[in-house]
Amino acid sequence: MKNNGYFYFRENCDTGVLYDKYSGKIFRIPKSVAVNGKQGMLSENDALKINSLLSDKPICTDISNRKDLNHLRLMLTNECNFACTYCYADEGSYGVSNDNMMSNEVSLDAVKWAYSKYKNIKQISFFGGEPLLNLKVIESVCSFIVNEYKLEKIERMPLFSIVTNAYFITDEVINLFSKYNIHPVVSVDGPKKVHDKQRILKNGGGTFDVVYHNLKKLREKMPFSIEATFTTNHDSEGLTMDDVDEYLKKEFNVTRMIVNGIYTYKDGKLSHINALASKQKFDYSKYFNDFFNSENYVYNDIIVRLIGVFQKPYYLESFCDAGLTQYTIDWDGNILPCHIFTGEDEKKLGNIYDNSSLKDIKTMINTKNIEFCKDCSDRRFCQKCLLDIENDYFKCENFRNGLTVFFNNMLDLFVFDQDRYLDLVNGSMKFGKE
Amino acid sequence: MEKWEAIDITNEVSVDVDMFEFACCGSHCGGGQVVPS
Repeated sequence: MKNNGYFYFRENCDTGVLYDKYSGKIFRIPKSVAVNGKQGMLSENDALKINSLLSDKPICTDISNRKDLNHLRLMLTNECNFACTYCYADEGSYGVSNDNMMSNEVSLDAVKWAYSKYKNIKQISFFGGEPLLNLKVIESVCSFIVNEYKLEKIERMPLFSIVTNAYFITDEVINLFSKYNIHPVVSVDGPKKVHDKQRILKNGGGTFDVVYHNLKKLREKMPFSIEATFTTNHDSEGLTMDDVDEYLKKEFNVTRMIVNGIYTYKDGKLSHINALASKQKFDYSKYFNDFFNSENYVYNDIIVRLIGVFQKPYYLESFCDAGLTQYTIDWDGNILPCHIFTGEDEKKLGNIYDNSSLKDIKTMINTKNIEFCKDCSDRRFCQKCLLDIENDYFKCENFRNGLTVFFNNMLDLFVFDQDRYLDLVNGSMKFGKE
Repeated sequence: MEKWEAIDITNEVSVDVDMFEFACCGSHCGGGQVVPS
């Protein structure tokens, strides 16, 4: 029996539903068959028939040879004025000497390199360290691209974004963001009492008051996203992930919120990080239940992606697109799959000044090569950080339990309330946009 | 044996979904893609 069939029925209705987790196809079947299928008690004939409806395997979508690049991330510096207690990048330096600044020349050569390989770039993000310490390069890159666009050398403008601690957001910076439509993603960890324990200056001082003031000013001019990191400091103050989410949404009226647990960067190497990891984990089942039961859908990245995958026969054979449709380029022109590998020579894919072809990352990140995952029927919905693959890939019970809640609700809406299903899908497409 | 038909209803609701290929990975990366691709 194939394992990619998902059965659904309502207690008080005659209809049964079969969902093919590989193809995204939905079939109406007799309720009795759905009931038996759910219990693993199909007759031999019914099992044969169900098998004939289901796909053999998900159809892979190859993303490595696209004309457009999804994301180019420029590491403008590894200097940072913050010393966040949980920083995976060793106070922004990534463990290398922290006086590196990307020059105008390298930044423009990086952009030119990307446009020599790809017709369009969907998103260019400015990253660090603290990227606002290298403001002139931001202006230089944006201005160059706008000019290229005006000269019709590029077909479509990319979306510009920046990940910043918000400490240096001045009027001049806000004007720059407005001028080039740069979308800010800022890091705030919740109320002052927690934020000031973990997002601190190099001299140990708290940063909340400055950040709060700057963000209030920024919000008057434009929307932004927030990423918050949830730690034992929140536990100590009796705050849950939901509390942080609610506080920040209310305080800053943001369109997109991400509350993450501690990111464990290489267990052992930076073990102090784990000491800050909260025992509270994101509960997928609870999140999906709350999501579908609320009158107005409150989206996040996870559900928007799953809604997108649900009805599309969409399958990427990797856990992440790092090195496939996104690259990070550092101040020396080194090309990396992701910023997380900054400073690691063995992870470099190449250099913009070296004409030889890039190292192929495909085999390293292909789910086919991971025994535990290669036959999993949920793999079309799964994603993971490359760093976690070795340690974490079998800890997926939380996500898989959540997926059943997601499937049940999606199928119920699809079959019994199509107007609300359409509202749900259309709403997901507006997520993050204003 | 009961005979039954399966009806493919996938196209009963037609959606052309924009989507994140990958959601935010949680490494303060700027959320992967800021807007759906």
